[in-house]
Amino acid sequence: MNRKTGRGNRIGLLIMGLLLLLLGGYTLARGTHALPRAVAPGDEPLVNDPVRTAFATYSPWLWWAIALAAVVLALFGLRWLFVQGRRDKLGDLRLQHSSGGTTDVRGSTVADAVADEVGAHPAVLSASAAMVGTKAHPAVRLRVVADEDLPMSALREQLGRRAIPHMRQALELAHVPAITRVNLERR
Amino acid sequence: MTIPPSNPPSGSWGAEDDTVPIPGTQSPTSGERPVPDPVSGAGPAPGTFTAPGAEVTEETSPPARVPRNHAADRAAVRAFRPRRVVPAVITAVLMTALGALVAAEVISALLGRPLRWIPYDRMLSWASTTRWDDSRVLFGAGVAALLGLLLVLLALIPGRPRLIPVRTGDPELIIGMQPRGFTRALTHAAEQVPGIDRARVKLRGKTAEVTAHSPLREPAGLAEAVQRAVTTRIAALGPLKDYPVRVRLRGE
Repeated sequence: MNRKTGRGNRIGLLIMGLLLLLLGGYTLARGTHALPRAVAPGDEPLVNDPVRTAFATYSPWLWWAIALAAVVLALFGLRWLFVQGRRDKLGDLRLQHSSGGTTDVRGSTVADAVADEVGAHPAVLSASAAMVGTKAHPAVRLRVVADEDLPMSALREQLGRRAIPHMRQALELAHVPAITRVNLERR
Repeated sequence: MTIPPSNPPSGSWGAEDDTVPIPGTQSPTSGERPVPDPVSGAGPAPGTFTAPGAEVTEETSPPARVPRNHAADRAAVRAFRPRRVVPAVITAVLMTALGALVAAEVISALLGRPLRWIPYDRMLSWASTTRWDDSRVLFGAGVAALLGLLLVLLALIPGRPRLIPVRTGDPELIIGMQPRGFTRALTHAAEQVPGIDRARVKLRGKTAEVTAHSPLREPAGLAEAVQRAVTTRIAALGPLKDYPVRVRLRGE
């Protein structure tokens, strides 16, 4: 679950919501005779002669088109469902050396190093981390449990001045964003 | 007029750092400036500028000076916004079911072996005799339109962040506190005040409501002391939004 899922969900909800609004709105407008009589009269049955004629003329292509639309709808729905469980943990990160060689670093190794460094602080009770994002733009997701007396500046310092710059050095990248969830507990 | 600083409450982890900006922080552009007065712990609301020393609050301990970075604040709020998973799952399941059902029925009929799960003969005769201005049609359309509106609102409205974002001054360092842990820390701060037996903190709306119990019969200045302690602790934790503290003192 990550930010991309959230954004994708909102886009999907927006599209489906607009579709429903459109369908419902059109039906309401037509049913209340708000639309011009010549184009869309409200006192016709839902399936009237023009509709029947269209189906008769264009069948079976029309039906195949409907079937295709239904299949596409189902596939989009399935993809949307699968995306919810997406865990974007990064497997390997590639470090490019100027000499032309490359080194692959396991994401979990880097993440564990960051977590260990954060956990070294006496006020931090436990810390775990995972590398997320893409090889080109990695990020680190941290979960920290800290003592309830923790001054946040101490955690900020431990992260911002030690753990993260060390990670940036190790990955040879200037920008590695970090998202940290802190839970304050009684020691 | 400024109040002279006193000792920070929990000194086990050394004095709080307050002068050097964190490396990796974007240097403040002309539109941003550091927290104006180290003594006024709570600080002004983000986006407003006050003259140094103009604030007279009850804060006494100097908090860490974090360069105010609007990009960092925005990044933090955005990172913890609700992801709308439940409405998405419901919508996706309905989409898949509807699409699969219609596809199965239509394709099977086209191939000559109709499944006949959907009673479309009955549906066709109903649709041929029901008009657009039928009250049932209008009712159904109204329901659909309302549902559509609900989905659109869910998509567009950002929603309250599920974790309390912390001010870091660096858009690449995002920290969020679990609300329960936050209130636990504030409760602890309230209970450290001498004379307080136990306390409970609830975040209601934008304020922190403290209910403290004390066995003392004449608690002079106790409420103020609790308010000071909790406000100081909030400042030490540095959430983006400021939580004014309201104290209710109860006897045992």
